[in-house]
Amino acid sequence: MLEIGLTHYLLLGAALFAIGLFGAIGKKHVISILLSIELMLNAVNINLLAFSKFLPLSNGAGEIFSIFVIVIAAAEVAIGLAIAIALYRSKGSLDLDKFNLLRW
Amino acid sequence: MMQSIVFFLLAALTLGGALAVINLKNIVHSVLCLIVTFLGVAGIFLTLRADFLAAVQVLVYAGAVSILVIFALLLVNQGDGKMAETNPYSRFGYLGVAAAMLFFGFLSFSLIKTTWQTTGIAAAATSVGEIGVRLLSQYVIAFELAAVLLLVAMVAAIIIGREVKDHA
Amino acid sequence: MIDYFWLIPMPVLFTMILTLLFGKKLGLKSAYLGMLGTIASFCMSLSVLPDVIAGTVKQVEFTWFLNFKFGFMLDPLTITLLLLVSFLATFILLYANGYMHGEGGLMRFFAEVQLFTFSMLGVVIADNILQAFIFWEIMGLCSYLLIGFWFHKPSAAAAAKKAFLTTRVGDVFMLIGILILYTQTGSLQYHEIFAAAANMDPFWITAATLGLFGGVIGKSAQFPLHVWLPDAMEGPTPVSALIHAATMVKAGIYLMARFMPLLVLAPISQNFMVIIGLITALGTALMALTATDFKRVLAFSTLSQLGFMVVALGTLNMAGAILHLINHAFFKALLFLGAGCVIHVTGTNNIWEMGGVWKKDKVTAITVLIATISIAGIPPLSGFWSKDEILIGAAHANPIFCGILLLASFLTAFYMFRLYYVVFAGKPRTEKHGHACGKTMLIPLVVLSFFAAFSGLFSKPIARFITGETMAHGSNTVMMISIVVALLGFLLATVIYGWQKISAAKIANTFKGICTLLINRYYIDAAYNWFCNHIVVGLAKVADFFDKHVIDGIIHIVRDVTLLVSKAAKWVDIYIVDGIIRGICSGFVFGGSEIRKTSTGQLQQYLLLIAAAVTVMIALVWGGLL
Repeated sequence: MLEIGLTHYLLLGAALFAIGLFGAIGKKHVISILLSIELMLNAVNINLLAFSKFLPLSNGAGEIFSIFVIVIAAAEVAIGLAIAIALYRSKGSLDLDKFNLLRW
Repeated sequence: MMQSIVFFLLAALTLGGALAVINLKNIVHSVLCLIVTFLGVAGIFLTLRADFLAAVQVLVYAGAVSILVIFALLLVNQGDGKMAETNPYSRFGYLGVAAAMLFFGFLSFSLIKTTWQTTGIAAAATSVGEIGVRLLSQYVIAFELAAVLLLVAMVAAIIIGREVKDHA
Repeated sequence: MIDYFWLIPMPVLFTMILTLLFGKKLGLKSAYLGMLGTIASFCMSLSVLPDVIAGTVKQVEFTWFLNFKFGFMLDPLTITLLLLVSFLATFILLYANGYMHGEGGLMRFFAEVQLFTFSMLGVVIADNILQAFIFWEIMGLCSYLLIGFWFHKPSAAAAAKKAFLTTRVGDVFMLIGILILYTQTGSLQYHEIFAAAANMDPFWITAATLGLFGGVIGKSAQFPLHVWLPDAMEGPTPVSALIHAATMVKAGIYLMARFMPLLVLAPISQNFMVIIGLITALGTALMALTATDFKRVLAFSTLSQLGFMVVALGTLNMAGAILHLINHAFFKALLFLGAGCVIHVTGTNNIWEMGGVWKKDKVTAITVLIATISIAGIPPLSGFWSKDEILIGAAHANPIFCGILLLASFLTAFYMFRLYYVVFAGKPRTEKHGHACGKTMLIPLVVLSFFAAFSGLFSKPIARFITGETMAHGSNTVMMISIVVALLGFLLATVIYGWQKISAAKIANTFKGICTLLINRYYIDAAYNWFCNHIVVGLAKVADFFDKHVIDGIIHIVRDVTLLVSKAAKWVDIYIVDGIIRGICSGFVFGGSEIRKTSTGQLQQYLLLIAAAVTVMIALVWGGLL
């Protein structure tokens, strides 16, 4: 079979990102959208690592960046879930279609 | 050869899990599938010889984040008992599919067309020790900022998430 | 002090301002304040006098704008006038303190008197004709204000107006003269004009001097612009004294004396001046015969004496003119102040209602007698000397001039003694009573009578001082004739009014026509009135018609066209210019309100749009468009 190279990883990342994007656009539930965002972040991590390993000048920076991405993702999840809970308490629902607080 | 098989298996596992996350009707199932995806990604990390990150992926995502999400779900869906139709599509469902597919199409096209100046083979694993040294030397400012960010996020999560006393 | 001589008029201005500030509170005491100023000016003039006598001629000038300068000069003529004016103003103010007792508007009165004095000093001390003209005009304003002091009296208001407008006619000529001088010599400074005069076209010299003399005719009330002076008697008596003795009418004489170097070069102007002077001297003396108002008689006599001075100037007899100016200032001031006292005592202006004042007020009677003798030209009182000087000058020029002047001189003696007999002799003819004069009114009389009596004795040194030449010794013939003539006038008056041997009424009946003519002042006033009422008003009506129908018609057409254009412009503005702007605005508003609707608050819609945008960007990158 063919040699697995950088392009394969990037395609995998792209696919995962596209799925996450679809989830973020197409789902109703607030927590579901958080999950989609996690998917996209994972896709980004795959890309970072792939570049880090395959590109000669990367000097391993991708791994460090991935660590920071994971850290920020963790923080984001914590905040996001807290917001979801607060939202649920005040509105009694997590259906994103029902919220248009940013409306004109 | 072996490497290819492993990669494709792991890729299939990851993408399959991801699709399941999006498509399952029960949100708890979605979260469980998300764990599968995370594990798959951890495997991908292993094929890239990033042992430490794979371990972190398993610990943080598959462990902590998933459990956190499930807790949150249990908090917000109290009472009704049924979880069957908890994860519906929004009114942008079809548009979302179209956008995602177009996005993937153009992106993969451009990725395939690009010729990368690669080393051809994945570089050797970076040791945990080296990562630690780098974090505390070259990236120390970012490291400290990340620490502060986590602290702030923790405090913020507690403030936002706690029950609001009715002052009225 | 001599370096700061130009400050001489300033104390008067200063006290005038003080009077304006505090006059309401001070009341009659404003007179003392004003005297402070005039005395200061007098003392300052006195302090520079020795230098001037020693021959210093000072001049200070500053550039005003372009090549116009304002400046001050000090020469014998100036210092003489400065001394005279400030001296007389001092006593007139003192007199006014008594005379104005019980009157309203004292602050106004005293401030105006001081401004009057100040402007006269300004005319005298100016070193260029423009500056002199400015003060000249201020003086015209003051005369208007003071003659019309009792402005609630219609006759006073009319007299003020008459004085102002009549002198204005002369001022127009004067301005023309000034402009001629400027265009011909390029300067308004006296000394530069005189320096340039040698190279001037004689025609222009004549024109300029005639123009200036036009101003003098107005200010010094010569025929035919003499009409304002008798009416000016409507003002308070101190004002009359001021106008006749110290300021106003003397400014004209001063100005012609100042322009003597130019006048020498213009024989036509000289002759014209002599003729005008003779007409005035004789004509007004005749009018004085029939006048019944004490002050009017004095006014006519002033006119007559001014005629003498103008004749003297016309015959280039500057010494005579200035000497007569000085002497006349003293005895005429004295006469007016005396007249004020008499009016005060009797409570009337009409001489036929007076009589027997001698018994009521001895001081006034004696001082007025001195002045009367003086003006009549009986030696050794002052009037004789200067009049004699003028007569000699006129005789040199032409014996006919001298003859006419002698006739006027005879009439002067006659009407002055007529006045004196009617007012002071006999018994009171009415029951009217005034009140006695206070000390402040009598002191000036006494002081002035001293000067009126003896100032003539200093004629020779003064003449030498002013003209720089030794006075030619007079001809004894002329002197004798003049004495005889004056005495004849005195005798005739004594016969008719003193002893009443000849009935005045009979004479009046015999010369009824002439009398009527004189009483009506030769109908000159009437002629002016007729001229104004018919010709001027007619012209004005024609001009009015022209204005209303032609000029206004043009203006209306212009207005209508302008309106039309502006309406069109308005339409363009509203519908096109504003339309474009409003269109753009409403386009933005509409666009904004439409674009706003995309902002639905649906996060996922935003996300979708972002994804689409990123996709398009990737497509564009690979399409080579970005």
